[in-house]
Amino acid sequence: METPVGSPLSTVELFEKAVRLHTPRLLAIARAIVGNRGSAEDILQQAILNLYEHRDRYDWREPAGLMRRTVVNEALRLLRQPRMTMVADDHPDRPGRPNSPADPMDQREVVSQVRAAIDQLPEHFRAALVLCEYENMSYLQIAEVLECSVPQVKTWLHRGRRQLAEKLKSLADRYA
Amino acid sequence: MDVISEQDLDLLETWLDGELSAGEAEALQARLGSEPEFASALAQLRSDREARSAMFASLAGSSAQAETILSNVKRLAAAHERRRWAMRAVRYISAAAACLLVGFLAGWFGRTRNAPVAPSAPAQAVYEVGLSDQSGQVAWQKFDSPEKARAFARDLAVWQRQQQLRNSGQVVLVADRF
Repeated sequence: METPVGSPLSTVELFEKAVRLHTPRLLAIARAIVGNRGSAEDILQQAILNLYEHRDRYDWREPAGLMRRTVVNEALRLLRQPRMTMVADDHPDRPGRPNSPADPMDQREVVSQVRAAIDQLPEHFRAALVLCEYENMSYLQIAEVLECSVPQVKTWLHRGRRQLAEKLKSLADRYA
Repeated sequence: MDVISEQDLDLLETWLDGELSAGEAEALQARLGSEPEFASALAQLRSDREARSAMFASLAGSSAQAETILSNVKRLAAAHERRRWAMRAVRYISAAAACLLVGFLAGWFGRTRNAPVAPSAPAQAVYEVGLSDQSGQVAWQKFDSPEKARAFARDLAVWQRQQQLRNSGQVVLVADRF
């Protein structure tokens, strides 16, 4: 049933609006964290399903933090399971290259290399990086989402960036 | 970047993350102006960060994917709700069936327990004739009817009379017939 113009939106309508608005970014977060260890779409769907079934508990006017935290937790929970289905590099769930033909080949190659290098990092390094550099969250906010301390976040970021730099440097040296 | 220490790299990354205090940021700015290697390291870190940002952005989903996920979520939630209703109905029916069974069993066993007891045959009446000897001991001769008991008592009384008559010489035994 459509809500009359001017009337406040119902919980379901607010929920749907939040999903449409935030899903594209949430997919990026899920994909960055799980890499090729699982289906980011399944993770996101499960996270949103959990929120939908308890939608009355939350305020859907400012849901970004809630949705992000739920997706991150679901992704990390899945990674902790003993058996993960590896998603092949050419699986449709695995974007890695922008599809736009206007993007120069070298940029796509860089993106692909960075993606491959990040996939090799431990999941908490990946989670900290995507929340810091993609979501522009503070160390304190990241610590709350990942349920750790601020020094731990700083360590993960520092070590993740150093490992990435080494991997990408070795790739650059190989193809130089 | 070889001349830049890990500590300096960490300082630069923290500054790029926006997490330095005002004083620390001011000191870093001063170093950037006076140390070319420091500025070069910052440029490299910015380049690395831009590559990562481009990669993360390439992972973003589309509006169509958002609609698909939303549709799937609502469909799955409806299926879960139907399953919960079905499980609830099964629990209620099971509980009702269990109550009926308990009630039936209670009634069944209660039926046999409270059933009226069939009246038993009256106790066999016993008619007794007591016989006492000279020592005073009494022996009871039992009969199943008063007529037999009276007949026995009558015969005994006749015999006792005859004995008395015999013992007194008034009656003489001629023959026994047994």
